[in-house]
Amino acid sequence: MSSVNMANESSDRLQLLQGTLDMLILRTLLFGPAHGHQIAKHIQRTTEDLLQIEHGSLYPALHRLERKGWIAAKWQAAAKDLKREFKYYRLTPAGKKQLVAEESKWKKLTGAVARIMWPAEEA
Amino acid sequence: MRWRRGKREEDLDRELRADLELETAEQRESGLSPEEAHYAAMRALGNQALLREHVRETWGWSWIESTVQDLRYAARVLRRSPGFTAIAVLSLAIGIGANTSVFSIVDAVLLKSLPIRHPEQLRVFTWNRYGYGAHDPAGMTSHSGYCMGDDYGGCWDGSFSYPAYETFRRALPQFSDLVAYGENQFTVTAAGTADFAFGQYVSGNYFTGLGAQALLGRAILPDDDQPSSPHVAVLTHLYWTRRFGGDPAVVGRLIQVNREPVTVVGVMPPAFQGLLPGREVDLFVPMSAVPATGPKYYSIAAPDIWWVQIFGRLKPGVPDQAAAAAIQAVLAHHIESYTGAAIPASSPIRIALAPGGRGVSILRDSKQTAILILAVTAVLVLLIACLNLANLLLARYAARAKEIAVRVSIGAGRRRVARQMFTESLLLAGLGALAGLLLARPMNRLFLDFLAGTVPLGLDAHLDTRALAFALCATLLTALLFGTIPAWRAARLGTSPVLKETAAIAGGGPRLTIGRYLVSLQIALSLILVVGTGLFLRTLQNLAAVDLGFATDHILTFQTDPGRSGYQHAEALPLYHRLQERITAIPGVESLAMSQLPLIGGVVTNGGVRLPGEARRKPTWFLFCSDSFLSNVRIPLLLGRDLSAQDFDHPGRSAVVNETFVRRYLPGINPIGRIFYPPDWGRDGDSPQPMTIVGVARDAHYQGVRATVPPTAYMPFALRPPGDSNMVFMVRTRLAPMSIVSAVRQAVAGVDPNLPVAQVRTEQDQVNRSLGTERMFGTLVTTFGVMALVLAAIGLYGVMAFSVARRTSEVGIRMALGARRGDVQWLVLRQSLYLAALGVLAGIPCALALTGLVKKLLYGVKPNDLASLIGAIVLMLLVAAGAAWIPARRASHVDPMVALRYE
Repeated sequence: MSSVNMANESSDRLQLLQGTLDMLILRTLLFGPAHGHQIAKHIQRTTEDLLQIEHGSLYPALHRLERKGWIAAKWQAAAKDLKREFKYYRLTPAGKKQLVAEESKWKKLTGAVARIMWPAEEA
Repeated sequence: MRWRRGKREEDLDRELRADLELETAEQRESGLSPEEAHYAAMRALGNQALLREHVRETWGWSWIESTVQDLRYAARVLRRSPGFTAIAVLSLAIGIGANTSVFSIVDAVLLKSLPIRHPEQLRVFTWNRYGYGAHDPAGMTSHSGYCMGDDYGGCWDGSFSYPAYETFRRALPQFSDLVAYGENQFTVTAAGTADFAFGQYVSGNYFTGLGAQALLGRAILPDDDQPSSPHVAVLTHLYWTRRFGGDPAVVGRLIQVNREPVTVVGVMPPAFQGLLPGREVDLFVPMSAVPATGPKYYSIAAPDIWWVQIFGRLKPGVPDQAAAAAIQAVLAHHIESYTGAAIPASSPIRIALAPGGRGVSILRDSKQTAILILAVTAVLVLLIACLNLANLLLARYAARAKEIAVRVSIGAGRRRVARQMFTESLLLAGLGALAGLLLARPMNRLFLDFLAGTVPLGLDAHLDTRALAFALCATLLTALLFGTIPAWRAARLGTSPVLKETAAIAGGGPRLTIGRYLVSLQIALSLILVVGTGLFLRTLQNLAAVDLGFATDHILTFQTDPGRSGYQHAEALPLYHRLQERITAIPGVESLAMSQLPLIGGVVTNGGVRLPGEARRKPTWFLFCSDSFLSNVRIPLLLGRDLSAQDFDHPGRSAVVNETFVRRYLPGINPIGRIFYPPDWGRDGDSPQPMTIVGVARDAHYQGVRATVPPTAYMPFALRPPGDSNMVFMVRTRLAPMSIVSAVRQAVAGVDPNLPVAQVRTEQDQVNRSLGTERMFGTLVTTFGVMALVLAAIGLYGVMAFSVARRTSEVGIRMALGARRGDVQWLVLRQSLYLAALGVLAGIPCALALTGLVKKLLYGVKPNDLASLIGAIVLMLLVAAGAAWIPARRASHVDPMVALRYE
């Protein structure tokens, strides 16, 4: 389980809160269809490696979201290399709705946490 | 569905491969060699098997698939070790089978509601005569029925008179239905043969009031219970199948009940056996048939003959107390109306209502202990089987530690491993349950047969859905009991560093601490059964050694009752003589002895005798018998002579008494020629005439094998009480007794085809039946005790063999350092004996606590019998030593060099 070890090496990497991964995946797909590898790299790059998505959680999450009907998958040729096909996931209308719901929930949560952590700034 | 799953797998495969390729390409771009890049990518992907498993879980219903997979795997594992599987399934089968069968009996006797409408509304009427002593406020001339013990040592009496019942029906608005019944024995003549049958007289509203429907035809209706109505009868399912072969054409057929023509109108379903669960009932006839078919001591007109039992359906909202008070007032008024005397307010007749939804089980009281012991034994057996299995599984899983570790390291979750192991347990329990259900049916028949003893049981204790549900629960519970600890341990094994260890010197593989204590516990429980075995074997031995005082061999017995075949009291005597002539003429028959009651039949006639010049009556048992009875059943005469034919032709009022009679009542004097006054036997106006003692017989058992012999008088049957014409025939033959049955039947039919030849059995069989319960427990506990011993041996062997295998290198070192074979053998033996001793120590108090239960069933041996206890302990230790012997030998033959080089 080397990926775990690697994650432990740099202490400034963060652990994802339960359920957050689903929201991040949905948000990433808002830009357009992407395959698993792209989604993982996107999150990693955008957070400047603070969040490293393990394959062990990513793929089960993708299949779970697909089963719930929030994303849909299709095998398509890559834009760069037409000879290779990837499984592209895209957001469904239900997924968009879900994203909005998760986002507002997240905002409420972070707001609430912030109010406790930094009360002076709030005032 | 399978191909879709396959496609999904393929899909996932492709997806992950694509990811891996991209990752590899990226790693190469960062400057790694192709090989390094590949491994880096693999690392990034992590545990693929686990990942796939998690993805599969998101696909849904994968638990079904993984269960099927687990089951298949478990089946393969079990098939690979047939010895283990056979032991496991067989021991579970016996355990589950015994428990299911015992449950169906307990259910039928103690738990199940009667198959009637709203059983919870039913109440049984009882009245208490405690406090009255000999004084009877109701002025009864006859009383038949049962009593249920109350808290004050008296009894709640369930019998009333029929007129009292009619009064209740008129005067008690608290009840929506009141039904009555009374038990009676009948002689039923049908299809050319006459036989005894147990029946009940029922009120016309009995079936409609209870809401019991007939299976065939119809039940008895109120219109059938009119003085002018033609006689009808309804059969129980048991009787219908036994006597009429389940022929549906029986409905509408004319049969004879006590020589009266009666039309069969219906057959009840199997579950309906009347309101006395466990009591055999063959047929129901309406109360209106009592005058024509009933005995003298039953009446539907006389208020002083108490014999009917009453059930009432209490209206919703009426408290029991209020209803009881109302009955009390009505009954007091009724009694005063015919006795003419007021019941004193200081000691009223108290009425109590008992819940009647489960009927009145006399069986419940009389067989409760036996059923309880049966249940405890069955549970013990199942527990022992579970412990043994838990233990064997622990050892097996420990031996499979490497396999489990490999599975965990390639991605099986710990829970998944535990589940896999538990599936194996479930499969074993399931197989055991299936085999157990096959065993349960014959066990059921055996238990019921033994429980019944001399009186047949009318019990609907077949394996119904309730019993099956019980079996299912028992199976799951069993699997939980024996499977949980091993499965949990196995899952923990997976995370221990087993793979790195290669049977290290300190001990290869995990220790089996839990297993050892399980074995000790198993031995503790087994000890209880083995002690029980000892107690019952000694009891049976003692019972077999009892000198009954008469010869039981070569005797065929049967009963007949001329009174119920239309003979008057006076006509019976010449009939008995004709029967005697015909039967003794049968080739091979040596002699014939007749008596009013059977020997060792559980029933006696008792009363008090008065000696001249004494006021107090002395308790005595009486047997009314034929001439030469004593010599024919081989009861030796100590003084005087046997009853002779003259005593019968001219009832000279001669009697023979037994030696206890002489010792207790006529000590120190020659009893021959002395007189005593027998009781009146309810004969009106006939002042008791004295009997002259003509002989003294050696003590012989009359009621049963266990009972001590009280003072007994043998009287000529010409003097038997009127209205009681039952006669037991004891035919002594040189041949095998059962071989002359048809000749006997022919002889009786030759005299009168309407005379039943009932209760046909050998006298030896009669004795055996009377010991049914003791013999059942003897057989049962011995069987289970032996099984417990075998399982204990297997359990100990398993633990010891495992321990020796684990300590091979330790033994090698010891031997290399100079330990001798004897030392090594003792090492193993000591451990086995230690475990057994631990179990024995724990088992002794349990055994002593539980054997108190069987106290009533033992004979000539105390529940805390030292010999049985020591015998059981020695046997247990011997088994422990025996079980350790092979592992000990194996250990002592370890070659130090091989052991140390091993792995």
